[in-house]
Amino acid sequence: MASSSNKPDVDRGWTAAVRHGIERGLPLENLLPSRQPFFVGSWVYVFGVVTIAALVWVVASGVVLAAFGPQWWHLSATGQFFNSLHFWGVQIFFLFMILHLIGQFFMASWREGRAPTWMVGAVTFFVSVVAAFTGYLSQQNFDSQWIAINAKDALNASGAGAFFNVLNFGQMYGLHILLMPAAITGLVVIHILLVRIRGVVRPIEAPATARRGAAR
Amino acid sequence: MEMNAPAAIVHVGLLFITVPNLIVFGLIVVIFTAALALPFPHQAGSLEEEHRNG
Repeated sequence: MASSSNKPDVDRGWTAAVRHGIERGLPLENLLPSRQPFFVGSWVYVFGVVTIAALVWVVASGVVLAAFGPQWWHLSATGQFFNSLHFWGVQIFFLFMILHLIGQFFMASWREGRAPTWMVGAVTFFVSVVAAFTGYLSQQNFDSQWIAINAKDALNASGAGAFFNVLNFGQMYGLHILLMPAAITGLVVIHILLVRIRGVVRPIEAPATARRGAAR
Repeated sequence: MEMNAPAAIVHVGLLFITVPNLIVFGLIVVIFTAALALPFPHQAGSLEEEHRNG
């Protein structure tokens, strides 16, 4: 039996509803645009991309470190090299994330329905701080022991020590190599999708006609 | 570079900061200023070019 719009019944159900929702909210030309508005011609818009590139670098080097273990990354030359790649990748990740944050703050990029994009970005930043903290605790050297011993009192005083024990290496390492990277990657994907749905925010003085993303 | 020793500290008046943190803050200022000042290469046929050409 066909519906009034000559569409068959197979176009019903939650899968069809999700598909139609995606088609309405995020058409492919918005998801993968080939052109951007005129105001995107600025290096300030590159900060976010560099942050994502650094995240890819950090995850890739982290996978290698996790595969070979602490003895390898401390004692072998190749391991120390990958350890450094991971460390400096994190430095670049945070440096450009802060630059991206400063640039978007002065652009007031939460305007015109982009508050969720801004909030997801802020949450990503705080989760990244936790990821970096658990990373310092996972080094397996005196530095990580020193940080853990000093941090435990603050966390215990806040009550977080009941479920977040910085002296528990297994817990910190598990958080660092699985849960935190999964959370950050998921949040970044949501962040990018929100940017694609709403389009890049126009500068405050730009004409309103240039609000949306790619030419449509 | 000795990374197993406490970092050197710059203390000028109210400013009290480690050298590594000072380098990072300096980098942020330099990169952000450069991003605003340096011209961005424009792709032919882009919306930006159309906008400039009216």
